[in-house]
Amino acid sequence: MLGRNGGRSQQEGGVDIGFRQRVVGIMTHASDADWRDWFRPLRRPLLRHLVGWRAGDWTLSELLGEHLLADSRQEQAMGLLDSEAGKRRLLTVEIPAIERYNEGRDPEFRIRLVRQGSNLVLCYRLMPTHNVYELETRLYSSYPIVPPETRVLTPLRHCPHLLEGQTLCLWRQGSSRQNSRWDPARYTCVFAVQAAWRWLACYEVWYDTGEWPLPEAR
Amino acid sequence: MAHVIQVGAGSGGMVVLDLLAREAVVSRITIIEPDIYKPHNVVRHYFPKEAAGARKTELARQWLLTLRPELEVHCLETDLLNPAAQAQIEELIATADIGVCAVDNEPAKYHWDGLMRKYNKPWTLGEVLSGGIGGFVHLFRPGGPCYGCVASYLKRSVETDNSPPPDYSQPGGPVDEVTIPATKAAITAIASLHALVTLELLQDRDYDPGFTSVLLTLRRVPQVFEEILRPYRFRIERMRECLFCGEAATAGAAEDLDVALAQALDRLAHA
Repeated sequence: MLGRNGGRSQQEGGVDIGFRQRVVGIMTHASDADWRDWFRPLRRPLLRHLVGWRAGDWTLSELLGEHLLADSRQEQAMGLLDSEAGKRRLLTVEIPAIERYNEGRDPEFRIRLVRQGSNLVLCYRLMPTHNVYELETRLYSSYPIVPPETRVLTPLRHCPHLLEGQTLCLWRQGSSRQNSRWDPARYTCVFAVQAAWRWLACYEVWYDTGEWPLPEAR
Repeated sequence: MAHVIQVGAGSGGMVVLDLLAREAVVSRITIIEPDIYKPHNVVRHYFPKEAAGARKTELARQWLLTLRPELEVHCLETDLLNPAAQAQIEELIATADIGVCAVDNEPAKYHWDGLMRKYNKPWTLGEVLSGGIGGFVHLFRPGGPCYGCVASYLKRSVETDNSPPPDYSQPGGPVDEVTIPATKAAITAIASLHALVTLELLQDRDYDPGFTSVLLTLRRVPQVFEEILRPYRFRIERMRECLFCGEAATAGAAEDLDVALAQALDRLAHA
């Protein structure tokens, strides 16, 4: 076992070396899923607080490995609104695309862009046929690598391709390059708005006929 | 004498580091890796189970120095996407001759690509496909296609997975997205190719093997790979319309990004 001090100290900071061995022993026998379940009740602020805690010559992160800290790292990762690349993407690609979409459009159908913490939310209305729907498309901090998420605020009937919270199933589920249909090199957030328009047009057909008019995504 | 900066010292990244460090042309190596060596890593790594609990960077450093004590090895024990480490990462990239990407998550690959383009550095990327059925090695040069161009092209043109689509009749149901671990042999085969291409590019800036990406099949998979050990070479062009490196994305943004962004967001909040 390697430690910063070569594992020399038997007891430092009030925590003896046996504690370290017990923790590593538990890690040896626990699967990733076990660890996530055990630590899920610990809230993120607490995790962040614990990152600096030390047991002898070991930090908590060294003792517990990345299982415990993966979530808090995700939260701390560079994002759309706090990285140079993210800001440039917004200024040169996304915002001009929204402004082009809004140009000449009735004010009530324009996209409004609202900042919510580290996310951006596009608020807009669509009218694919006769009905007006209120929607929001959320650009998470990890956008555009992670696709935008669109939900309809107007109550809908339960139908195919609708996820929890009236979130639209627009992209093939999956997070890797192979299995996600979202292409961050080609699509802007306005593409998500257009995809939502198409989804709603399908919904209206389904509402009248019971048939979803487009084939399943593959 | 070259400085190599590598992100990722996992099962594939460690093979690349090992092979690069053995060559006299490499005099300095910087490793960016946040993880700790865990018991389940043992089967695909060089290190014994007794090393579990140690930082991967530290284990890698010791390994490389055993090979070549004169090597200069610098470790950054941080996540590539950690905002607090960006200044230090950029400083190190600025002094590097080549970048090596050995991570398996998309945000990190895109971020690495952005950093490499910012500092005009060539870089390479190795990717082992799920189940070890094959893998890619990509070369990126300043002015050439970015990772976004390559990923977009491959997404549209290359089938590397024939797993069934999710159950769209139950879109909220569990997603079958299990990544099947590759064998150490498969990882080593692709990582060795990755190291080979990196060394060639390091020794000759004009190195042109006739492809920007190469896919080597390692197993026969019906309707995906009909032949084993068959290379597919791709010469992928830079996309003019790429939203990462294309004309629109590289058009001059305002000098002060924060001010320009605040103004734009304010304008669109009241659209």
